Amino acid sequence: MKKKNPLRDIIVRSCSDKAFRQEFLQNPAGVLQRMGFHLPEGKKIKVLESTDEMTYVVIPSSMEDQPANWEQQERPAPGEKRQVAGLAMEWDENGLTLNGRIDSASAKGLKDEMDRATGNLLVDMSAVTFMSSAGISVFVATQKRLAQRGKELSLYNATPAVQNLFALTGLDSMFYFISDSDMYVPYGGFGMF
Amino acid sequence: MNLISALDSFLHQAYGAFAAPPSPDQPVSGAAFYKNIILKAVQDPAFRAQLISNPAVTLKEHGIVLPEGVNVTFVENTKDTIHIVIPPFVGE
Repeated sequence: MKKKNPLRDIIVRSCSDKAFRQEFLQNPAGVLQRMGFHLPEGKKIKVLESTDEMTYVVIPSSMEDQPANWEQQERPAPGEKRQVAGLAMEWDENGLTLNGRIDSASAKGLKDEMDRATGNLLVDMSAVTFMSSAGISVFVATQKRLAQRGKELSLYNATPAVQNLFALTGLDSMFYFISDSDMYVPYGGFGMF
Repeated sequence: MNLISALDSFLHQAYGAFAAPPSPDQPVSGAAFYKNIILKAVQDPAFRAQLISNPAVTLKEHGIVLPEGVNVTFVENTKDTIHIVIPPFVGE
């Protein structure tokens, strides 16, 4: 049920499909858009081909060029906590960590907390024991709000039960599910490129 | 999906996947490379410039010796440009 990073498919395919590779080299933005990516505005995308002799390594843009991503002003300071009904919420360097039940009693409180984030938001779902449809609508609302600013909500280590609930509603494609096996460590620089 | 998040995630996946136990010809893990080289380059403009102008020497100073015949070019993303690297073509 976990959504794979579609960039992987593009890169793997460009190693074995010559026509696709040519197209990706010539019109990367077009290919990415067709594959469902939202492209950042005003940025040019260049594709480089590594060869057996030459490996290219990309350095993400420097800190001065991405202050908004590095200063963590886009969400509350780490350590802030709040408890609503059966749900405990705590902000840390990576985002918001939840513990307990997301149901009609706690959904509004969760939305209020997530509304405080204006940048990319990672929500740690590993300790969520129960989620109702009220929870789904809160996540959908947050995803829509962030998408308007070109930002994104990602759900970290959601249990299979929670992921299934998203899948049943057909809304799982709206979210990027990240698990430990992705080796995903936001490292304070969520959105480093 | 947001391209920036996907690239970011891909970067971590890539370096995570290379996090093999260090061996004599592979002295650093992917995770260490990410932390000591990539993150340092993001944060430190002087180091960044060195990596770009003199990659092999700069890597060597950080304990990374490139195998014979392998060259590395560092390209930097800027406010205006995002680079995506694809591996060599391996055939149909």
